[in-house]
Parts: sequence; structure tokens; C-alpha cells
Amino acid sequence: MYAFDFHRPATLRQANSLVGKLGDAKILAGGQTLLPTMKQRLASPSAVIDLSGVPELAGIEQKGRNLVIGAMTSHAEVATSALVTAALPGLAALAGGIGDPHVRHKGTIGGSIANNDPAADYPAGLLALGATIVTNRRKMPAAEFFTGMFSTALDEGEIITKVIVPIGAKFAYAKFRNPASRYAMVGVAVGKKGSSVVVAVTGAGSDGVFRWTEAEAALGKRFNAKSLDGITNPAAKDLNSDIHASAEYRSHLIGVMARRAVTGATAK
Amino acid sequence: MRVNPVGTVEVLTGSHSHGQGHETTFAQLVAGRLGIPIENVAIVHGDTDKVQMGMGTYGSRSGAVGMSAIVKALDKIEAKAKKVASFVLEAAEADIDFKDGKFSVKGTDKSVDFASVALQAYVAHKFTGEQLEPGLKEGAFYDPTNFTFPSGVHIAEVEIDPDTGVTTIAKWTAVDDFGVIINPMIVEGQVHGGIAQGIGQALLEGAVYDANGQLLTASYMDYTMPRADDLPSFRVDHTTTPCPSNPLGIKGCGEAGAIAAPAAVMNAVTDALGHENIAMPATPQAVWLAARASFAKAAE
Amino acid sequence: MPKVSMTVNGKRVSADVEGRTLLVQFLREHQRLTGTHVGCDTSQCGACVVHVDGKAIKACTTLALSCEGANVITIEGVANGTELHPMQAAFRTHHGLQCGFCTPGMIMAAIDMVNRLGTDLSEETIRHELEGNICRCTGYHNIVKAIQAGAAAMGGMKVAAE
Ligand SMILES: Cc1cc2nc3c(=O)[nH]c(=O)nc-3n(C[C@H](O)[C@H](O)[C@H](O)COP(=O)(O)OP(=O)(O)OC[C@H]3O[C@@H](n4cnc5c(N)ncnc54)[C@H](O)[C@@H]3O)c2cc1C
Ligand code: FES
Ligand code: FES
Repeated sequence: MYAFDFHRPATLRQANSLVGKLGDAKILAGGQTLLPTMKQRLASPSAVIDLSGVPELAGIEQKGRNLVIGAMTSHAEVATSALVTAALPGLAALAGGIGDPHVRHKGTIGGSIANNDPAADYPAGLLALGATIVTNRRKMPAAEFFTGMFSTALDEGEIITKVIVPIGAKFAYAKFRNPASRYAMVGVAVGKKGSSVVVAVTGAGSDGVFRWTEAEAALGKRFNAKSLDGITNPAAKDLNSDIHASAEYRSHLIGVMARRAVTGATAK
Repeated sequence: MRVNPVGTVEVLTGSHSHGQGHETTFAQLVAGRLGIPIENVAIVHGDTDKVQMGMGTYGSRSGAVGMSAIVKALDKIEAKAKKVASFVLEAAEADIDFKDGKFSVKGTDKSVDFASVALQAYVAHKFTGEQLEPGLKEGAFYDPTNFTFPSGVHIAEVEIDPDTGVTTIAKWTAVDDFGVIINPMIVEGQVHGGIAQGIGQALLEGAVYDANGQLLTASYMDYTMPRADDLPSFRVDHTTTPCPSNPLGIKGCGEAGAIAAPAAVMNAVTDALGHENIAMPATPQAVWLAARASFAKAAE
Repeated sequence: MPKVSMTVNGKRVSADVEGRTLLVQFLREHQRLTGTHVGCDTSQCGACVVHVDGKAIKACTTLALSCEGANVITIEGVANGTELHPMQAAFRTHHGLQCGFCTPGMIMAAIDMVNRLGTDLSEETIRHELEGNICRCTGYHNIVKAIQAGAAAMGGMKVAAE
């Protein structure tokens, strides 16, 4: 890891002014992605701004028909939160399936979505739930926020402050873990609110998380795993291939995981 | 093997322990033979400052070979100590018995314990240097007369999810014959670790290089180490047929699990698939592809 | 160089560190607490697990400066003088270690598991919860047994230090 200056603001205001002032700075949330990346020298910021001392960014509350999750809320907190477990048990389960207990104690929802790893779990979940991402500058729907593999709509110096997740959806996430890393090799999140169904796929797309619209249409007619029987899986040519899984295998797994997610969402 | 004047014993061994438990097993052997508390035995290894020559631990040989050398050294220590005891007890050497840490004169109640004999060996008050060289320190080297041949049966029961190709080990039963076992807990630990490594080889682990020779499985992000939830608890038992080619009747145990497990797992997997067209590691993808071939064949 | 202060095993400590100094380096190199191991340095193996403010984390993936003011417990801090912590004692009794490299992280993860999930842990729970701790030697069999027994032995005695 190359040397850098370390800053630990105590308020969001201080954090804002630091990102404005320091040109080549990186925000540090849980560090579970940034620090390994810096150790590999794939990132070498001259300054790091640690948000762990900003209490206003953490915590979960229910506001009307929404859950409001602070950007610095850890995966463990989402997984065990009474609010999340009651309102969206599928989201709590998703968070509880990220990494391992130690990673979950540090890793945050803000860090995960800012990073938008093509094998991360939250991007699929938040897309399927129709979440809104709130930053220090604006609000945007998840569908606009995730723009491609490792890329988001975030501008330079923009800080995610919270994520607003509407409740009341039937929702579940089914993950096929990469046997080595335990990230999603294929993860499918299914959310149904009213007659609208979103099927979001992570781990498989050659450009990050994507929606499987054919499945959405079929499930919109009848929300049952059997509805997926007639339709073809996303084409292998749009999927990625690595030493763990070919694009064909990933395509197949999308079908399997989508069925499991639908079954999970209807069980509740 | 250095017997100190207070009766404690230091064993300098060329067989190094990095988790195989020599400190326990070797000490148990020495303590048992000399009738002294196990805390009084120190096993020294892996330090070239102290141990003149060593070749590590490998080939399932530390028990069979390393402990045989210890037995030889113990024979010498006992023989010398009997000489010392014969002076202390004022009896003929042939009349000295050694049992449970005590030297005694046959047919009498005269006896002396191991620690006292150790002290007398050094202070040499009961004999002269002409009669016996003082001290109690011996060395031994051992070259085995033959290999040891452990044998056993490992039974793997696997379940394959045909939708995903994921293979789960439902149950594991192993019975091995390692000859005489000095410490069953340590031997079982060796078997557990070996099975895990073998299952890893069969289902999970593999080094993958790209066309340019770049290692692609260079961290645990890509190299699949077996984790606790990849494995079941193992049912492990043993039979005991002493090995004829070393004094303790010990056979090698360290590699048994790693040798048996890949074969057992792959036999179970190919049995489930109905054909043998699959290589290790049988990853979910490999099993899924192989299962598709089975279904296609069944549909014909 | 900035200065960092924290409580390690009940003792206030501080040192001048670089921004990039990892918690595990601070513990091993500045505090000479070498019980916490570095197995992979890529955040997967769990040999470096310590407790920060009561939670198990990977000390190789945490900056020392992020732990300003924190309460850190390492493997050196769990025994009560010469009396082993019940989880340590259980690892010894059940031969839950061979080379011992993974053991500090395993024990810190196991105590954290009990703190979160209680003292009555099923084999399945233990195996699942050990996802972040790799062992090359034991095949996990005796580790699982040790954690189950250690958890039961911890029954009632919430880790005093935390
Ligand atoms: C062993 C291991 C296993 C893992 N397994 C999984 C898994 O199964 N599934 C999964 O989804 N993830 C997994 N992860 C990743 C984990 O979820 C990370 O916590 C997450 O990706 C990043 O969150 P963080 O809080 O650690 O962010 P950091 O690493 O601190 O930051 C990540 C990036 O986001 C930026 N950032 C952070 N916070 C903000 C913010 N508020 N506003 C703007 N930018 C911000 C940072 O500058 C950085 O570029 C794993 C990680 C490890 C080490
Ligand atoms: S050294 Fe920290 S996880 Fe391996
Ligand atoms: S005991 Fe050696 S790695 Fe676990």
C-alpha cells in the first residue's frame, strides 16, 4: 500500500469540505474492498477520508412506507435489524449472506453500492426493490445509479448518505456463491410490488448488474416459479466467463436462482 | 536424549513438528517408558542450534521412523541407568529390574527411582570413573528395515444437486489400520486433516494458469480452500494390526486421509453420474456439465 | 506521523503511525502482540481476527488510525491471568489445533460467535459462521467440537473483558 494522508471527519459537513479540498482523495467506509485494492496497488489515493467517525451516516429507521438505511450501516446491522427483518426479511437475508461475519461487521451498504462490484449482492437487491440512493448532492433511483461494472452515477466528491428502500414488496434474493471467494457467481433478486415485478441479476452480467426483462414479463402475469418454464435464459454472449464458471453455466444458473428467488418471495 | 540430574528428559529430534503433535506423542512414549510425568519430558526440534540434523516431517514417517530412533535411545538410556542403579543398590546389574519409574533388585524390596539414578549418574558418588563413565545422555539413529503399509476403507456419501452441480458430502466413515497407536486423538486429527485435504483436491482445489503461465488462482479469492461448511464431521475408527518392521509396530497415518479421500469422493461422484468422464476438481460447473451428459444419455 | 491511541486488552496504548499502518501491524509490530497472525493479507483467511468495540473484524483489513479511541481485544487478552479462557481450554481439550496458525483467529471468531448467538450452538451454525476462517490442518472437525464445547462452557460467563 502506498502512503497517504488520513482524515477522519466527525460530521458530514467536515467530510464534505474535505472531499472538496483534497483532490485525489478516496472515501473509506468499511474498507473491505478499498483496503485490499490499495494493498494490490490498484488504487493509490493521496488521501483517505474515513467516514467511520460520522455517526449521522449510520443507522436504520422506518419513515412511512420506507426503510432509510444510512450509508455507513454495516451488513451485520442490516442482517440483524428488527426493522429490516420485519419489513423486508429477504433484504436482511441478503445482507446476512455477504462475505463472512467479520466482513459483515465492517462492510457497509454505502461502500458496497459505491463500489458496484459486478459480483456484489446489494446492487441486485436494491434494483429489485426499487430503492433510491441519496447523496450529499441529490437523489437517484437505483436503476440510474448503477451504470455498469464497477461504475456508478456518482460524481467526483459525491458522498452517498443513505439508501431509501420502499417496503411492502414481495422480495427474495437467491445466491449461488463463487466456491472460492463466496461472492455471487450468480445472484438473482426478485421484487414484486403490486403488478410490477423486477428481476435483477448480479455476478453474471459482462457489464455488472442487469434486469432480466423476459422473466419480469412472465412473472408479471403470474408470480410463480413455473412461469419461468417457457422462457429462455439470458444469452451467454452477454454474460461473463471465468475459471469458475462459463457464460453458459452462468446462464443456466440464472434460471435456477430466479426460480429459487421467486419461490422464496412467495413463501413469505 | 539428555537425562538431566533432576530426572527431566530432553529429546532432540530431527523429526520436526509443525502441528503433527510430536511434542505430545514423543513425550508420551518417553514418559511411559521411563515412568516419569509427561511434563518432565521436553521435545526439542527444528532448531539447528540444538538439533544437529533433521529432515522435517514427511512421508507419514515421524511415528514409525522418528519414534523408533527414540526407542533405540531409550534402550541405551535404560541400559546405562541400570548400571548406575546397580551401584546405587549394590547389586549385580543382571538383578536390576526397571518398572514404573523404579529400579529394584529382583526378589527384594530395595529400589530407587529414576530421578535419583539420574542424579547419581552425574555426581558419580557410588562408582568411580574407571568402573563407569558418568552421565546419562545417549543418541541413536534409525534406518527403517522396510516401509510401513497402513490400510483402510473410507466411505464417502455424496449428494449432487442436479440443478446446480453442487456436490455435498453427506456422510464420511473411515476405518484405518495404523498398527499400534500411541495417541488416538492425534492420529484422528491427522486423519481429519487428510480427509479435508483430499476432499479439497477432489472437489475444490486446483491451481489454474493462463496461456502465458500466469497463476490465476493466486489468492483465496480464486483458490478454493475447503471451509468448515464444505465439510461434514467425520466418523473415524481404527483396527490395530501391529507393523512387523519397527519396534513399536507403528504404521504411517499422516497421509492416509489425503490418499483415500480423493478416490472415495470421485468414486461416489462417478457412481452418482453413471459415468467416469469427469476430472478433479469436480467443481459445480464440472459436475453440472457431466450430469447434463448423463441426462442426455438417459434420454436416448 | 499522526498518533493513534486505543485500549488494547484493557491497557491504554498509543503510537505514531502512518496512515497506511494496518491494525494488525500496529498490534504485532508496535505493541509486540504477535498472537494475532497474518495468514493471507488479502482479507480471506481470518487468522488476523481481533475484537474491536466488541465485534470480530479482520485486523489486516482495518487501518490503525480508524481504531482511534477503540477498545481492542486480541488473543493475548482473553485468558484470565494463567487461567485459559473457556474457549481456549476447549480448543486444547478437543485438539482443535495442529499447527496453530489459524487458532488465534478461530478463537476470537468463536468467542464473537457466542457473543452474538449464545452458548448453545449447533454444528451447522458453527460451520456456517466459520466462513471467514480457514484452517489447513484440522479438517475443522475438532475445531467445530471445540467451539461447541467452549460455547457451552462460556454459558453464563459473558466475556468479562468486553
Ligand atoms: C472476504 C470478503 C468477502 C466478501 N464477500 C462479499 C459478498 O459475498 N458479496 C458482496 O456483495 N460483497 C462482498 N464483499 C465486499 C464487502 O461487501 C464490502 O464491504 C463492500 O464491497 C464495500 O464496502 P465497504 O464499506 O467495505 O467500503 P470500502 O471498501 O471502504 O469502499 C469501497 C468503495 O466505495 C467508496 N465509498 C465507500 N463509502 C462511500 C460513500 N458513502 N459514498 C461514496 N463512496 C463511497 C470508496 O471510496 C471505495 O471506492 C466481500 C469482501 C471481503 C473482504
Ligand atoms: S490475514 Fe487477515 S484475513 Fe488473512
Ligand atoms: S491448525 Fe494449522 S491452519 Fe488451523
